[in-house]
Amino acid sequence: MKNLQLIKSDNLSELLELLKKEERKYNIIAGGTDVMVLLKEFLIDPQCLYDVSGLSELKEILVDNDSIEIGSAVTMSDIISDSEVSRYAPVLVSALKEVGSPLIRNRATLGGNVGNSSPAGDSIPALFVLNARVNIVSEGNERSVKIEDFILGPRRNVLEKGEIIKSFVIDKMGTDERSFFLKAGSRNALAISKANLAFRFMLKDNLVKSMNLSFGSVGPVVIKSTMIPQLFIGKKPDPGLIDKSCSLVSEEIKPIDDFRSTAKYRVKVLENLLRKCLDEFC
Amino acid sequence: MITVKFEVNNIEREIEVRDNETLLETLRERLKLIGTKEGCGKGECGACTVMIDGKPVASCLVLTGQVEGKSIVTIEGIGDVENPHVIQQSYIDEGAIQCGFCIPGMVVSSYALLKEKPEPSEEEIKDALSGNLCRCTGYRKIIAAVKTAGKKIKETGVEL
Repeated sequence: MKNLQLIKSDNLSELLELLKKEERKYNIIAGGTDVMVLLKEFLIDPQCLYDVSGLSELKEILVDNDSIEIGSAVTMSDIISDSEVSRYAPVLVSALKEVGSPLIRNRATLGGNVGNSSPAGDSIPALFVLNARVNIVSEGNERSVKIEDFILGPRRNVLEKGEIIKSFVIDKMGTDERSFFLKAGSRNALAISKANLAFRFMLKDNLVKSMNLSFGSVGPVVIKSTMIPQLFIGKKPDPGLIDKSCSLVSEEIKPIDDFRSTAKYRVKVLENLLRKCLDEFC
Repeated sequence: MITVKFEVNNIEREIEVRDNETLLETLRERLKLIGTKEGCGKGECGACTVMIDGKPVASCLVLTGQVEGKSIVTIEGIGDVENPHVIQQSYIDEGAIQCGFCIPGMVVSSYALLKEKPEPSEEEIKDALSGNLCRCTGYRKIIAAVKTAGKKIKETGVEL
């Protein structure tokens, strides 16, 4: 691994001040489960690393009346074991349980998974269906963007120099809502998704009242389905609608052939994952 | 270089390390704690598993500069040849060790699990060890060893 400087701080404003003045190429590091791999494989080339893992301001989970705010440096294990997140955002917990292994989840953070902006990041489809907003902070400035506007392309996002992710604000799901996160990988643990989906819906009087659906690993960025929820909302789900919605999957996604899978397989497996969710309707 | 103060197996250490030095490198090369192994070097095999503040992690992905003030436990802090820990003895008794390269990591992950859940289910054992790869045993005897260790810990009241 190349030489670099590690810069630590236990004070957010101090770190932001240093970041603003930084003229060298830098990366933010928290758990390091992505950054360290990228460094070792020479896929990133920073001259310094800013460590945010010690910042208590980024490690809080705050529960409000209708939303939950999760600090960017909270580890995935801590999110999974948080009773409020499990109760009100079970789809996020399901997604995080699919990331890596306990060894990874004890270090990896939500901010890291989103900041890395991989199309295969498992937390991202779950954040999509929870209408997450990303709170971004820099010296003297704060802004908030929707998760779907945050990621611009594979490993590209809207963060500008001097900015870091502070927290995520997600919906609290109602008790009458249900959700799933399903993933296809080469094996259960330590496998990066070939395709995944997050699904959140509510039925009322047998009719679909609301539906959020998003697909990961099947395009340059996570994809929010519009056609499939449109098809279902206000209707009683039946096998005909389910067949039709599965046939729409290939129109909504843009999968590629890569070392992990093929476009053809990704379409088929995602149709099957969706069918598995929708069968819960009938 | 940076100076880092942390605890390893209950001993306070204050050492100078390179900024880009991993915890795995510090443990093996500076502290000569060579029970912790390097396998893949990218968090996928678990051979380098150690505990940081009680939680098992892949030490190849941690920079030593990030563990200021933390408490690290390596396999050497769990037991040794003269005084094997009940978990290590269970691995031996169940025939769960073949080449042995993955075993320090396996034992550390088993320790962290049994400390949290003294009587884990088979599913919980599989999940807790899912980041530790073994290419010899086929895992059955490893799972049996964790179950046996759990029982012995309960019987003898050993504190983890």
